Amino acid sequence: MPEGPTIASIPDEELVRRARERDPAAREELFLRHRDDAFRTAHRLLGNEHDALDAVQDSLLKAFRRLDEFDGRGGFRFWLLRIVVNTALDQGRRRKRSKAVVLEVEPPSGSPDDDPSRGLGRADLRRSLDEALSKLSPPLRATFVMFAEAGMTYKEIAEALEVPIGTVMSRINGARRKLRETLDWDRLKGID
Amino acid sequence: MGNEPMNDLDRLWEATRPAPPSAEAWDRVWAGIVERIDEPVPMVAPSRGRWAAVGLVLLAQAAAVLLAVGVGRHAPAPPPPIHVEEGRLVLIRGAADAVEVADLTPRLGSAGVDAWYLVHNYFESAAAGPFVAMAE
Repeated sequence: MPEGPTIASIPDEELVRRARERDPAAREELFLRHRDDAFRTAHRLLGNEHDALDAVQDSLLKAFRRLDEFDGRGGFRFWLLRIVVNTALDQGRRRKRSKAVVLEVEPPSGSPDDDPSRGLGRADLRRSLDEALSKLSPPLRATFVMFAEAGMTYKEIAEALEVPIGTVMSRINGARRKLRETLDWDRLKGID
Repeated sequence: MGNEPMNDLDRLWEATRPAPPSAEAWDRVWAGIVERIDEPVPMVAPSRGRWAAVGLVLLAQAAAVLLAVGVGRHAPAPPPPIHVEEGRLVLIRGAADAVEVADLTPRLGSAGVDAWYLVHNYFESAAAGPFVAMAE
């Protein structure tokens, strides 16, 4: 008797259908597939691992609880990332980014990435970028992170944020320009 | 980042990609999801800010009601409707508590007296009230 497909080979659409019926394996597979994208997006918006993981957990809970509202347009990943961005922005407004929180979760010193002989360590680079990102307005930050980190297209971002594509493009250009202006490039010369 | 050639910002972005959380951290996240996923969605208790907003709205509504009642009590009763027949030249003058209606039609006569001339004369002879309206 031939074996059925392993869960890893089942497309998202089918997993979503099963998850709607509260299939725990389908839910877990969706979590495993999309948690990294969700985490990186939330991390860029919130600036630290702890808050990012909280945002991912809240977002996945919302996504699973509201699966009946998901119309399938754009796919589950797109829908989840949209929830992640909104959750992270909301969380960021409530908790207010602070330098102390960012410092608290940086990797311990002595990691290979922080070799002083290689110029600025990765933690320093990330801190600089996080600070520059935090100075962007929420719409600019969200749009840029969706594009640069989540790899969403202009069209997907426009749909997610319910703005015209032209607005998405101008926000991305504006975010790039402001980041370039804010970052201290002389200090960051040690980028590998 | 995108399909453009890598520049400094792109390289910085790539160099600072967040490291993935540990397996233990992911386990905790998943455990938290599993624990709460089938719970009934809790009713969100209004925050202090929301209570304040609700209070403000109620206060505004109460103030509006009081104002309406106060105005209703102290304002004079509206005057009865005035009926003006078509073709008549009438001046309606609001006095303090009454409305004075002057029918200027007979003065028009058949000699082609200008209506505005009559009205102007009336204004000059009568004490000015709070407002004057004319209907023809």
